[in-house]
Amino acid sequence: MKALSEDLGEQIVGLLPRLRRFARTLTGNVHDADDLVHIAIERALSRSEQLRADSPVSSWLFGILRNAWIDEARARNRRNRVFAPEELGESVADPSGHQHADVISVQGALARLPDEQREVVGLVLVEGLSYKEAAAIMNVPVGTVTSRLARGRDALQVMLGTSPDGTHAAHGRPGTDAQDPR
Amino acid sequence: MTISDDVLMAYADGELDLRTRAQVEDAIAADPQIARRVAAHQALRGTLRAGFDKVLDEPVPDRLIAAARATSGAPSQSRVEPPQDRVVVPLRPRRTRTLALPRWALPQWGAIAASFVLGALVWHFGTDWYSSGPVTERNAAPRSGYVGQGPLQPIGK
Repeated sequence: MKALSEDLGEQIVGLLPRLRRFARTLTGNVHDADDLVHIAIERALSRSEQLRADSPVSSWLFGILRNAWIDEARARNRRNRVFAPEELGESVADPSGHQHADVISVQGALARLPDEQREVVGLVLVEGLSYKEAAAIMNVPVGTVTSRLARGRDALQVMLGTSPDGTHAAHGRPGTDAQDPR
Repeated sequence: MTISDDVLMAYADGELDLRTRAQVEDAIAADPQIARRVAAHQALRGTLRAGFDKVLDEPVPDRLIAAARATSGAPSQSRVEPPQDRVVVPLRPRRTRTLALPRWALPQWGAIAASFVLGALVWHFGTDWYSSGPVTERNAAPRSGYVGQGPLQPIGK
């Protein structure tokens, strides 16, 4: 048992660069990302019995990291709801003029996506996972992965100014996601 | 032939089966607009990878390597700021209060017992002492009556 968990520890060490990259796509900053990876490592080691032989360790770890991030986001939202001042609505309505900037960084564009689109972009486009793997990690049907990914892609291309044509984003996507359980 | 953007996206992500992939490649060859859309999907993939691949080249912080090699499975005590603890904190006082209940119940029972003892003492001795008041007054009343009658007798005499 000890040998198994030592082995898992070494596998985690080997995956740390990718875990850090995925955490960076989710949180957008180094410190939060590494804190998130730290939490995920501890959770993984304390739940090593949940690791199944038929799924890759990387997917399992991405799932733990992603769930830890959602827990954190929920806790943060609760705190923000308690402490958010009334003026918050105004500052959200005016996103400090970022539309004026002609060039926006990939990181900046990704950070502006809704959480549910950001995680699927991180898993599929950055980590290179299949739709099926991403669906398993996010615990949603594959159809939800494709619709979120499509909307995330459209939004990113508009923000990055790389839309293939001007009309594409307009005729592209419905605003709502019928398959989305949330 | 019209191909939905979801299929073009899936093509760029390598998600299509051989047959559909061949159809898309035919469409790319035939329609420059489709070719442009597929190229945009592929370019976005490349842009995102380029934007985050540099994380792979960063040195991994020692604390993360140490955490992964802490094979006990127990959460390390060393982390400076464990955010989930902030969620747990409100529960702790509730639990210690439950555990502390028997500890302060003993003095409380003592106080209740002392009240009973005091009550018994007051009942036993206090009533004697208290009733002596009215008795004295009752004794005094006839005396005052005598006193009252006293002057009458000399008057009557």
